[in-house]
Amino acid sequence: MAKFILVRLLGTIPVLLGVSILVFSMVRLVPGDPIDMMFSNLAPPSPEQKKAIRHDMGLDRPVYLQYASFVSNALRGDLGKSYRTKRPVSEEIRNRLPNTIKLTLASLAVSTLIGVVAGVVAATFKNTWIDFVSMVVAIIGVSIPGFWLGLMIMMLFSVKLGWFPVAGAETWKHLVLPTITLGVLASAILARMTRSAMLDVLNQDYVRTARAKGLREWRVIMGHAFRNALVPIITILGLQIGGLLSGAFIIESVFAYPGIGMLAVQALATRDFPLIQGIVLLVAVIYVLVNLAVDMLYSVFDPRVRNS
Amino acid sequence: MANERGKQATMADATNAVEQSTDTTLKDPRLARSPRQIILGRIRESRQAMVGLAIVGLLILMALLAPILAPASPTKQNLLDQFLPPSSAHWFGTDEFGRDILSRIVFGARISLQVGIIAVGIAMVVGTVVGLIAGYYGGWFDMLSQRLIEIMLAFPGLLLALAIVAVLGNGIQNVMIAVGIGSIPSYARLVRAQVLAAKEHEYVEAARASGAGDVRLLAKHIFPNVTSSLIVLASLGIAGAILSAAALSFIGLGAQPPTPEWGAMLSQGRDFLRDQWWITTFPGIFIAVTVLGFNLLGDGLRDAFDPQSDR
Repeated sequence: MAKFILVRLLGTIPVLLGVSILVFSMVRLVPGDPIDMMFSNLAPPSPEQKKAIRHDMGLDRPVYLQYASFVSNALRGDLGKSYRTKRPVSEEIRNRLPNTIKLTLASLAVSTLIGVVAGVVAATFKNTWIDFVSMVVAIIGVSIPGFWLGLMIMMLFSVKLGWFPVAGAETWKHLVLPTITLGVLASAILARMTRSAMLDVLNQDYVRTARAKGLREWRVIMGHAFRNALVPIITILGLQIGGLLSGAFIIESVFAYPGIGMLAVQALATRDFPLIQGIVLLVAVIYVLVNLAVDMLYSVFDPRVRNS
Repeated sequence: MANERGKQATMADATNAVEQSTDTTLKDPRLARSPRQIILGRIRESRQAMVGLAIVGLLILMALLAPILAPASPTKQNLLDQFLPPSSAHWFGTDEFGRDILSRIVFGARISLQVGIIAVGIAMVVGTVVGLIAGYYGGWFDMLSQRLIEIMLAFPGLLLALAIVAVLGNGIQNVMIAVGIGSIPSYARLVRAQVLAAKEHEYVEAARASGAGDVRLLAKHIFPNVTSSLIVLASLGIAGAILSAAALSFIGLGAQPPTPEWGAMLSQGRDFLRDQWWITTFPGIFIAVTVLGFNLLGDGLRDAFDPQSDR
């Protein structure tokens, strides 16, 4: 077990290094002078000033040194300063991150509830109208653009009915519509995958044995099949968090919900690269760590994994 | 978001599909029919595939015949006709510049299909080449490409495409490239896995023994094993690419005004949700139906290639 965890932990190091190199190169690959970009809405600096700024920012040093200081700064939580607000990127992110975490977790709960239940029910009643209807709804759910669903929900519940606020994040009411939008979309994928994981398990011999020895169907489903389908379902949930995080970029901007997704979209609009860089790095690192955690969880649920 | 998650499962499914389809065709008592005929028959029997095909076919027709079908110009402004609700003159109403929304949607089909096909084309060509070489030769190239793919997969969903567009700059072309690059990992992994499996087949060994070179082996004996999974992945991939590109256009990174791109049209309508619901509603329906068409087609094809998956 300890060995499995150690190997898996060490395996994430090259991935995180790669991620940091990609994110670091992002700003360097953008055509144009970063200094000009910083001053895009101000009076352009003189050549001497530019040279001084370049020196202050370390842009006149060799690239590998710049990368080294990028990594060491990032490890200490220093992601540079926003071009636009001139405030530290870490501070901008810290102000917004709790909102995104709230939204992601709430939608994860909604999608798990709807998706897993729908998937198990569909698999249990496979090839009946229940299965058919839930899978038709699920494939439609997978095909609907999230931003459109968000706008339609907003049009109905905020604009026409006035039940929920249109924008912001001050109260729990602000969380409801973005959560439903993200959660419902994610539940469609989850329902499809849960159904197929359940069907895989339901085809196994031990399920046939359980039925043969006269167990009630719901005990077969919940006690034997679902427990074994949990491993793939948990994996999907881990991947789902990445999907929800990146989905939040779009949905947050639909509902003007002040999380890091909306911050990123604003940063993209103003080409505020340090901020974009910081958010992309953070989300990728969170995602890698979530998947690491999922793998560990996996070994708790499935002894075969940790012994292999 | 949806697509990225979907891909993981699709890849596994698609891999199964080919292995099992070869198995079942061999065991199939109706051996009088060729495997191709059997699969075509199954595709024809699949309601999903047929509905998907019909939707996709209609959309392609709409895109091709756009100048004939569209009642008006997609970009011509007419401020006297601003914000007209749906009527017999303007089926889907008009927008804030008095442009006919139906016409914009009809022309928009060209953009969405183009985006889907080009993005998937980029991903498929690069992914297939990488997957073939990595799977066939192994060695340092395999190691390197696998690590690179792992790194790319660390950026969930749209994030990689978003970062690439941030670097390349806004615009629909850059969105196609970004979405294409972002989808390379799925294709590379799928092809590599299939090549690894196909390499072990005896007929490949036999062909090698009879003197076939690497290129011939790859092209004639190994690649054909991959095609059916690639077709499935491409169909689902087009659906995902259209959705991603529309999302990027929606947040302002993709098509720029006055291009009649569906995601961008939707975004323009945001300010008029209260009174002009039609500006956002119709483009969204068309995105959803298009994506649904490709998803149904992909799902149906997968079931046809792999009867087991329909359990």
